[in-house]
Amino acid sequence: MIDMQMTKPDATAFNPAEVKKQFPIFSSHPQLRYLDNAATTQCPMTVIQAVDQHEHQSRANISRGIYPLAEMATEAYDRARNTLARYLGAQDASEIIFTSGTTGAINLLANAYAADLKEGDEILLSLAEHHSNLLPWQILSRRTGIKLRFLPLTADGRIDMRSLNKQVTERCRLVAVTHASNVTGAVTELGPLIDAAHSVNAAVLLDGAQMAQHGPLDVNALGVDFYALSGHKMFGPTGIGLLWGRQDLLKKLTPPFGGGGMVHRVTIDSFEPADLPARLEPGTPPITQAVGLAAAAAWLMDLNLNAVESHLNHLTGRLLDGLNSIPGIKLIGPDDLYQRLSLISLDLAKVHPHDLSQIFADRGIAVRGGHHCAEPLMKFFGLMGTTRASLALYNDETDIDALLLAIEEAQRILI
Amino acid sequence: MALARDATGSGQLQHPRARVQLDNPLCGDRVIIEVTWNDSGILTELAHEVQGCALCRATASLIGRDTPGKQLTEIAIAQTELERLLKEGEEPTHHHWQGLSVFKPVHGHKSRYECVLLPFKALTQALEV
Repeated sequence: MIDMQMTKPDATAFNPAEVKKQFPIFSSHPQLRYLDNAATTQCPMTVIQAVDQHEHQSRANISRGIYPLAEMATEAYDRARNTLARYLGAQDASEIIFTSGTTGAINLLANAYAADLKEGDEILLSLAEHHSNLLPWQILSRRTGIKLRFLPLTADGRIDMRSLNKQVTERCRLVAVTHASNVTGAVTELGPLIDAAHSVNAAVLLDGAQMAQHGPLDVNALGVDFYALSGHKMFGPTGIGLLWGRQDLLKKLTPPFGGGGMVHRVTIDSFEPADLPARLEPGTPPITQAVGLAAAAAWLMDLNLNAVESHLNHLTGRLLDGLNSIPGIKLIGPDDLYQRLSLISLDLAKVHPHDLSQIFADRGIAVRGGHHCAEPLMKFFGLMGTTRASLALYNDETDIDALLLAIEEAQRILI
Repeated sequence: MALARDATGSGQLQHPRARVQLDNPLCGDRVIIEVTWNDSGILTELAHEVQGCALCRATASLIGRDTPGKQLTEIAIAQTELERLLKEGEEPTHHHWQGLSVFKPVHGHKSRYECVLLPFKALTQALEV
């Protein structure tokens, strides 16, 4: 996360070229300028090796087999959970529930909440949410009759907290918002939000899909109650993510899905769920993917993250300066470096995001064009879509300069 | 780009016999097609409104240029020809639809197929109303 008010760390302590060598994708595609990291980050070799090694040496189902291979797999899965608990600053590893990703985590929570909600209860979201943090609640609303409320946005797309006291009512049971927007990069101001939610005993869920790649978190210091993230956006494998929750709250959740491995006892009439975390992880979990995600988290924890932040801060500033100097560009979201991530959405007058993205693609630059699964946010901005460049630690100045040059070329071709 | 800029057929009909709106869920592009046809099964008038990329606008423009006056059965062939061109890279064989070849460079770019096909899908739906 970028915050110009913070002390600027030493950027020389980080060498993006050396880090980039750890990512085999760039050996396979030497000309690639990968600026779609908000969609999926690339995997460093250490993650690929961890996955490969697990499949070669430890592949078996977990928790049941008593033969050595099954015990190795179980240990690997448990170690992965411990690593992710450290990454999030969880008090206990049982607070980590592995899911298929952020979408899976939020759907799990929404389905678990269903049993305890009454018609007229309220869930507070914002207009900036990814569909993954909107549709599960819409579906829940249809099932249970709960009401969804939405926090408005400021002109530059930040969640506007001025109406917070009005929006957080006595019927509010959960506040579910993004930790950082996948469209604007704006980081949500958490203090007032959490205070307001907790004042009416509502829990707070953060969609951490975009934030998770920026280094370890301290969920207890953040003061939130639930946190969701995806592995593939933090240098890990696809098909894995997690829901973290405060243990007392997770214990109260009614398991919404049933299957093997999540029970103490079963009769033909009923079952008694197992303890956390198994009660919320029915069926064979994504074992190999969890091992890979843990490798990614461990790799991130070993980085000089202050230096990484400084590097991304520098690149984001260079990109913002460059974009501001090109006529016809409208930045969608904050146009400064205050409390934002290293992703920038733009609208180029009279040019469709897909056409701009195609020009980029023809020059080896990977970006994302479209509504970014945030249609209500696009409607707020009065746009069909944007073109989004999202940076990661392996990007460098040449990537930024190539992007800026391609925009000028696109203007010549398309306008 | 030239075809997209031409926007042949862009607008609305006063009395359409059918009107279909289709969205591309991946990018939010929107196409509205309005058509009339006579009892002999000939498309007599067509108008389109497109909020979309250059490829989508180019297809709509081609439809606006090449489909009025054609039999509805011939128009159905066009979509098949276009899909084969995009997915297999095969040139159109029907003499009415040689103009579809302009989309051959899109072959192999799977994520753009829907951009090209959306106006045709809207037209096909409209003709089935």
